[in-house]
Amino acid sequence: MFTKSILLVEDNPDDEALALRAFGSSNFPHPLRVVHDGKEAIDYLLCTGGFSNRNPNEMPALIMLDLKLPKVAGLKVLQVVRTHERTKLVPVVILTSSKEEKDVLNAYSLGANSYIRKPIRFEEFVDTIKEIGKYWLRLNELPQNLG
Amino acid sequence: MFEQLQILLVEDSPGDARLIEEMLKESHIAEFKIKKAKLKSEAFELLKNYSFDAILLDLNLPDSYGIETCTTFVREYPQIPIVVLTGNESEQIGEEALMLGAQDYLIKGQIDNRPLARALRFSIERFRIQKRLQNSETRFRIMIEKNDDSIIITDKGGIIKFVNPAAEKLFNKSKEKLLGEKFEYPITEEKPYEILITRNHDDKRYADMRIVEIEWENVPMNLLTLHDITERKTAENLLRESEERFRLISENSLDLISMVNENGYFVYASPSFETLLEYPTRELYKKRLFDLINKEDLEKIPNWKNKLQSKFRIIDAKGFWRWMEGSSYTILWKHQTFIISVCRDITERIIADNEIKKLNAELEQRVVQRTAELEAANKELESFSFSVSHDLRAPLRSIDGFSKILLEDYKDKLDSFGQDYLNRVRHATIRMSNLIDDFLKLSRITRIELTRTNVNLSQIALDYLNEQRKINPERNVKFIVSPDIYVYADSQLMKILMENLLGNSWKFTRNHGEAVIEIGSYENKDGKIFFIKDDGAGFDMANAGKLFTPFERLHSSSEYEGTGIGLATVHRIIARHGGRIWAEGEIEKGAKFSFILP
Repeated sequence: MFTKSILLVEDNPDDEALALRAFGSSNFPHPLRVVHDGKEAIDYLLCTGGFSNRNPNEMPALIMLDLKLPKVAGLKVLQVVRTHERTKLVPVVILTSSKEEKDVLNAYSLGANSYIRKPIRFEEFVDTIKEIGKYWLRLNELPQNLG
Repeated sequence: MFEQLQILLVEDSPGDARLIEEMLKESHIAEFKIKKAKLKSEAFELLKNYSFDAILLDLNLPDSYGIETCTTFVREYPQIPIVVLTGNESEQIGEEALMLGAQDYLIKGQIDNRPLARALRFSIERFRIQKRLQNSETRFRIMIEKNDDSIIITDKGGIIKFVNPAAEKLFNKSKEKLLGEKFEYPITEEKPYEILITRNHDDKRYADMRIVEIEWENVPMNLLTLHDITERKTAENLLRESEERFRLISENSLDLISMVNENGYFVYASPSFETLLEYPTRELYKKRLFDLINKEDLEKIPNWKNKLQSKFRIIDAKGFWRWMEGSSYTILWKHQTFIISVCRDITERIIADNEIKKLNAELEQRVVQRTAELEAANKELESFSFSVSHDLRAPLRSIDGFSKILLEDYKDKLDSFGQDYLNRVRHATIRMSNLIDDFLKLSRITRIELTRTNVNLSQIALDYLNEQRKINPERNVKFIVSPDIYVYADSQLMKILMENLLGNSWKFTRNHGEAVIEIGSYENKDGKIFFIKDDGAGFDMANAGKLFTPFERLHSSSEYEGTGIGLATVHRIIARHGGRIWAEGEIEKGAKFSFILP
């Protein structure tokens, strides 16, 4: 059986490494896909560009999206995700360093499901990743034909 | 044709009566119609019912006797001439009757028909003439006596010979006093002239006097007619004074006062036109007011005829436009329409106003510019804080994360020192992260827009302190919070302010077994003072100046944690509200923070 993946959109290699480690210790059955900028994220999700060969039926179960991204900004990615039929119901958790009120407001206005600020303390960071996974992948019910 | 004369013959003797009747009938000088009476009562009855031209009266009647009869008839019928008939003996009675008012008397026995008729005829005539004279005299006397004008007759030497009651009144002297006195004003026969009569020092009368030369009782005299003109004169004087007053007001006014006729031509222009606009007054009367007013302004004035207040420009003799503000209204005077206008030169004020408007516009422009600059600076600051929060935090996360990984994955390769150093690195990372967060908070306070409402400080304080009590239930802290302390301020910022101040109090009292935190307010000459007081660690007043400086700390981090941003934030919140904050403290006795808001 196909297990849905988690898509992490993260341009900072350090944060990527830390996230991977956090995931590793979390024992999720879901594979983690990482893309490094906004354009790549859109291409992956819409199966365009470098991802034109990807099966469009395989949509991630969760998108963890940073806001400050090269090429296409995080909020723009969010907007695209919410406009396309295939992706519009995928849960999007904003995972970022900023907690500017403006960013929080914009993210929710564009349809983010959660807004989480990356904690500095590593233990907290790991806990946060675990909690996100636990909530969105285990507790939360999503429509069956999502994606 | 004879004149017909109605005669009443009063005679008790039938013989005498018949005789007299016969005599009169034969007369050729008039036709006598005779009615006879034998008694006085009979005569009176006839007199009641008929009119008679004369009465022939015998004095001795059965019901009236002697001279008494004459008296009665004269008294009762003074308008009818009476000719008395007496007996032979008494010519004396006849004379007496004349004195009493009878016209004539005849002695019986001496009467002849001709003299009888003549006597009657003459009596009637004489009586008529007498009556006419009497009437005429009465008329003239009334004219003189009832005349409002004073009439005085003097002789050529000026001695008063006659005065009428009006003259007595005018000179306030009796006739007796005036007669024989010398008239004290010059008597010339030229034109009438005015004299001033001083009756008393404060009682003066004016009179117009005319003099006519007359002949009076055959002597040349002066007839003086004096017409009292005091009332008119007083009214005239009052009018002249009033006119003078208004003229003075108008002529000394700095305002332009004018009266123009319906066509706009000046009929009056106050001297201010000459002093202010430099038009010679004479020249002005050839001009129209409307021609001096700016055409544009004139069109804006809807109706000159109504009382209205308006601003307009007037051109002066040198060709400069001067701003005026005034009112005008229409009056009807001597059956003609005039427009009166009063206006004031407001040129200086308009210039000053324009200057102010210009300055205001410039100021507004400058404000707009400054606001734009400020907005730009704010935007810059915002993107700066965004970068700070994002970009400065990311490396911290890496430092902490990889330090942790090192501690986990390479624990066996690090000795206790190495592990301690890595823990120090991680500790510093967290501190740095807190500093960044506080720094961002501080900058946000500067940028946030103030929304003032009535904020209940007591409630904020209680909420916060009760929360702290839940977190640290072991602590023994007494709260004294005055109820309902309200400030008119931004509620969000006030919450931050109170939490910072109370947080400090909570923190700095934790080493005291028992503590009191007090929140209150009081009034003094500057206004309402709010304070937060504790009996905790306190501070040295020598360092009071550093308290509100960002990142300045009076305690070591090992003793009391903190970034040194809290009081700087508090200070900034108060400053943003235009208020003032100050602190008093003593080491280990406590601290008191007081603030005032406008």
